[in-house]
Amino acid sequence: MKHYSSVGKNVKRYDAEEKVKGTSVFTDDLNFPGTLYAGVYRSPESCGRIKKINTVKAAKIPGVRAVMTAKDIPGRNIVPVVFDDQPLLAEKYVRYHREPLAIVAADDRNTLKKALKAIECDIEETEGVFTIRESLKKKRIVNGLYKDNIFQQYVVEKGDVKKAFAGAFLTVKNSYSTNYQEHAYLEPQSMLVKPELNGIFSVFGSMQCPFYVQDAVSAVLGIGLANVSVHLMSTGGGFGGKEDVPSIVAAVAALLSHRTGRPVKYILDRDEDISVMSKRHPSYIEYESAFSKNGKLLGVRTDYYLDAGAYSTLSPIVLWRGVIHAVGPYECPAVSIKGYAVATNKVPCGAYRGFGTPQIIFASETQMDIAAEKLGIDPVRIRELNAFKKGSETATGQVLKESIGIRKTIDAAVSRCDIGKTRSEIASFNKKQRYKKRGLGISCLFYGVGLGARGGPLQKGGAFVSVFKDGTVQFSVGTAEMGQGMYTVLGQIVSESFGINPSAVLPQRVSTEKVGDSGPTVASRATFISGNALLIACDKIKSSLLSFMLSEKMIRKASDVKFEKGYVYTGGKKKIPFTELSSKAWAGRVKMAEYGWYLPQGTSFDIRTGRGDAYVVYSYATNIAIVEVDMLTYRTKVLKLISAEEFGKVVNPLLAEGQIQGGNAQGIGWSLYENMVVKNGKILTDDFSTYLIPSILDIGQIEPVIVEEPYKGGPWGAKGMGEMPLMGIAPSIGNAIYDATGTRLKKVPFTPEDICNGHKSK
Amino acid sequence: MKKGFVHEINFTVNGIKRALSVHSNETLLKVLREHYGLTGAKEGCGGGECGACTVLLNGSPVNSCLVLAVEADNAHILTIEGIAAKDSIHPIQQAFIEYGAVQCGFCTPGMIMTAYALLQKNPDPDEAQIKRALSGNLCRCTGYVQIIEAVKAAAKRMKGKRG
Ligand code: FES
Ligand code: FES
Repeated sequence: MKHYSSVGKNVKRYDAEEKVKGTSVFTDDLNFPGTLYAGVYRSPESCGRIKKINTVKAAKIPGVRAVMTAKDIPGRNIVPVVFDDQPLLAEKYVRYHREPLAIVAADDRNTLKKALKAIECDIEETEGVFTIRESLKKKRIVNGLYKDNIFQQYVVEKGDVKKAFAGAFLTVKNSYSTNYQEHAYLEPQSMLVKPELNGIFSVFGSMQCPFYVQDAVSAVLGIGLANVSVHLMSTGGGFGGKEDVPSIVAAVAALLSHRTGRPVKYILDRDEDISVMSKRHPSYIEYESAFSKNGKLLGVRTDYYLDAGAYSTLSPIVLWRGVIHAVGPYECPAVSIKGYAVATNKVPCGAYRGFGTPQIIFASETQMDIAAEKLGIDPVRIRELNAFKKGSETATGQVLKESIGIRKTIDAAVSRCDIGKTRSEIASFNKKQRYKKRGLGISCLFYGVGLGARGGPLQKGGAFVSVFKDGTVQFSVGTAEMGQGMYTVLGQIVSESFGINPSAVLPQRVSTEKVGDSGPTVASRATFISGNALLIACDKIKSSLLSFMLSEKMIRKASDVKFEKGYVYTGGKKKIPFTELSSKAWAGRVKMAEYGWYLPQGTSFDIRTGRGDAYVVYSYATNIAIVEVDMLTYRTKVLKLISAEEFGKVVNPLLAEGQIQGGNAQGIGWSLYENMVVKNGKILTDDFSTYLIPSILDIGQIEPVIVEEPYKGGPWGAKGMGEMPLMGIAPSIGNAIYDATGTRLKKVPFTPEDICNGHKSK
Repeated sequence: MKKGFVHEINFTVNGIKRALSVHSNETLLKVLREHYGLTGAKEGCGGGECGACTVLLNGSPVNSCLVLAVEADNAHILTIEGIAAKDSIHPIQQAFIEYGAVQCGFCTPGMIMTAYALLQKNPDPDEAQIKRALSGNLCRCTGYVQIIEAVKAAAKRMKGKRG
C-alpha cells in the first residue's frame, strides 16, 4: 500500500484562523464607498394575472436610486438553469407566493424598506395548484410553456418485472411522503455587484457555482460573459441552497448596479430567504418490492413524484439522481422506476444535499425493514444478502468493478455499535420502562459521485498550479469553498504530489478570472474533479522538472526520481530539497505554472430505456440509529447515530468527520424537527422559531466511522462524500421508532402527532 | 427615519472608550459592524434566534441584533475582535481550530463569545452545562460535536494556565 505523507492527515484548515478571529470576509462584511442596498418587491398572491405594478410613489422617495420592473431589464428576463422557463421578474403572471415583481436600490436600509412598502400591484388572483395530486389532474396548467404539469419524467426499466412479482414469495407495497427541507445555511443569500471600468461588472458573493452566477448576470444585462467577473467570498454554508439561486440574487444586484452605476448589495432577510429560496422537494412515492423466501430482492416497481414548484429550475436533474438511486445499494434483477417532477404554484424547489435521493431512500429502506420482519430475517442480514459486490449490476445495468464498500460499511457500523449487546440492553430497558421505549434502526445507501451522465457539458473541471522559486505553491480551482474544507483537502492533494509540507501550498480565492468554466460545486464532486485537475497540472510541472534535471545531469533517468518529505530524490539516497530544485529550475527558465483539465470518462444513459453507466463510481454508507420515544408526549430523541461511510481514500479524517456529523445533524432535523407549514402556497414557518433546525440540545451522540476502499480513478484514491451523511438518516430513525413503538411511519418528518396516532390506532 | 431621535451614548468597546450619536432604533449589531467595522459579529436572522450576532454586554452574552445601541450606554462591550491581543490567539479560538469546530465559520464568532462567557463564569463546565450555554447558538454545518469537544479542551487548558 502506498505510504502518504499529507493525504490522510488532519491538516489544519487554511481558513480556520481567520474564521475564529472573526476576520474572514463574508459578503456583507465588504464595504465599498457609495454602496446602495437592494430589495425586491414580491407578489402577495400565489397565482394570478398581473394587471398593474405601480412604482411611481416609491421612485419619488428621496434616497431611492432606482426602481425596476421586467420591462427595464436590458438583457433577457430569465434565470438560466436547465430549461430557462423562469423569468427573473414576473411580467404577466405570478406563479408562486412572493415571486419577484420589482426591484429597488436605495441609499440605506430604512429608505429601502419604505420604498418597498410604497410599491403597489394589482393582481387578478386565480385558483392555484398546490399539491402533486391536483397538479396531476391537469385541470389547471401552472406554467404555460408546458403542455401539462410535468416538467420532466424518467424511466428506468430492467428485466421482467411482471414475472418477478408473480413469482415472488413476498411482495410489499406502500406509499410514502416527505415534506420540504430548508437549507438554513446560517449566512443568508448575499451578493454585491460593483461596476468597474470598461463595462465590466465584478460580482462578490456567497455561492457554490460562480459560473452559474456569471451566466445569469451576463444574460440579464445582455453583456458578454467576459464582462462579468465573479469572486467567491467566504460562504456561510450552502448544502445545495447556494447552487442555482445565487444567480437570482446576483442578477437583481447587477441590474440595479448597471442602472445606477454604483455598487449594490443585496442581502436577504431571513424570512425572505426561507420564503423564496430553493428547498428540498416534497415528495410522494409509491413503492412495491418483491422478495424470495430467503430474502433476495427480486423486483422493484416505483412511482416517484417530486413537488417541483412553479418553475423547473434544477428539478430535472434532482429527479434523475433520485431515479437512479431508487433501489438502493442492492442487486435487483427486475426494476420499473418512473419519476416525475410536477409543477405547483409554490416556491421552486432545487438542490439540497442528497439531491432527490433522501426521499426515495426513505421509501426503499423502510420497505427493506418491513420485508425483513415479514420474512423473519434480521434487518442487517437482509441488507448484507442483497448488497452490491464486485460484478453486481445496478438498476441501470451498470456493472460495478471496483471500490464497492457497502459490505464494509455494514460490518463497520454493526461492530461499532456492538449490535447484539445494544439490542439486549434496549430490550431490558424497554421491559423496565413503561413510558419510555427505545429502538434501533438501520439504513444503507449508495451515492453516484459527480454529476453523472446527465451532467452533459458540465462534467469537467480546471485547475491552475504555480510553483515559485522558493518552493511554495499556489493553486486555483473552479469549484467553491463553502465551509466544507475544500481548500484544505485540495491543498493536501497538491502537497502530496510534490512531496512537500501542506503549509507550503496556498489556495487562491475562487474566481471566474482564474480558471475556465469548471461546472458547479455540487454532487460531492469538488475533491474528485478539482483534485484530478490539480494532479494533471502538478504532473505537467513535475515532468518539466524532470526534463530539466535530466538536461542538467542531476539525474540519470526519470524513473529514479521521487518527490518526498520536502526533498526530490535523484537516485538512491541522493536528494535535493524541493526548495532548491525550485530555485534552480526558476533560474533555468523552466515552466512551473501549469493548467490542468479533467474530464470524467465513460458515463452513459439512454433516456428511453434508462440504461447506462450512470456515474463513474459510487460511495457507500450504513447508518444505525438508536432512539428513545417518550410514550406520554410521543417525542423522539436520537440517543446515538453511527454512520459508517466509504468514500475511497480519506484525504482529511477530521474534516470528513465534520462533514459526517454535520450531515447527520441535518438528517436528524429533517426526520424529527423541521416541519415546513405551507397554506395555499404561502410558507408560514419563515423563521427559526417556527422552522426548527436542530440546536446543540437536539443532537445525541454522533459517531462517524470512516471505512476506506480506494478508487484508482480518484485523486490519491478519493471519491466524494459531502452528501451521504444526510441521505439515509430518516429511514434509520423511522426504523428505530418502529422498533421502539411498533408504529410504522411513512411520512417525513416523524411528528409526535403521527407517532401518537399510529400508536392509538393499534 | 424621523429626525431628532438621536441619542448620545458612551460605552467601552473592546477596552476602548467610545462616544457616539445613534438613532433610537439602531441596533448594537449595526453600530458595531457599520460604525466600528467590527464585522466579526454576524447577522444570521436579525430576530434573536440564531446567536450569530452574540457579543458580551457587561460580561454576559447578548444577541446584539436585539439590543438597541442606546441600551449599551455606559456598558462594556466585548466582541470576537477583543478577546485576544492582535497577534495572539485565545485558547478557545485555538481549540476551535484544532478540534475542527469551524466549517463555514458564520456561527463561529458568536459560538466562541458564548463559550467565552461560560468559561468566565464556570471554568469547569460539564457537557450538559456546555450544551445549555450554547443552546441559543445555531450551527448548521458541524452537528455541534466538534464544538463541544473544543469547548471542553479549551476549559481544560485555561484551567491548567490558571494553575
Ligand atoms: S442575528 Fe441576532 S440572533 Fe440571529
Ligand atoms: S460552521 Fe457553518 S454555521 Fe456553524
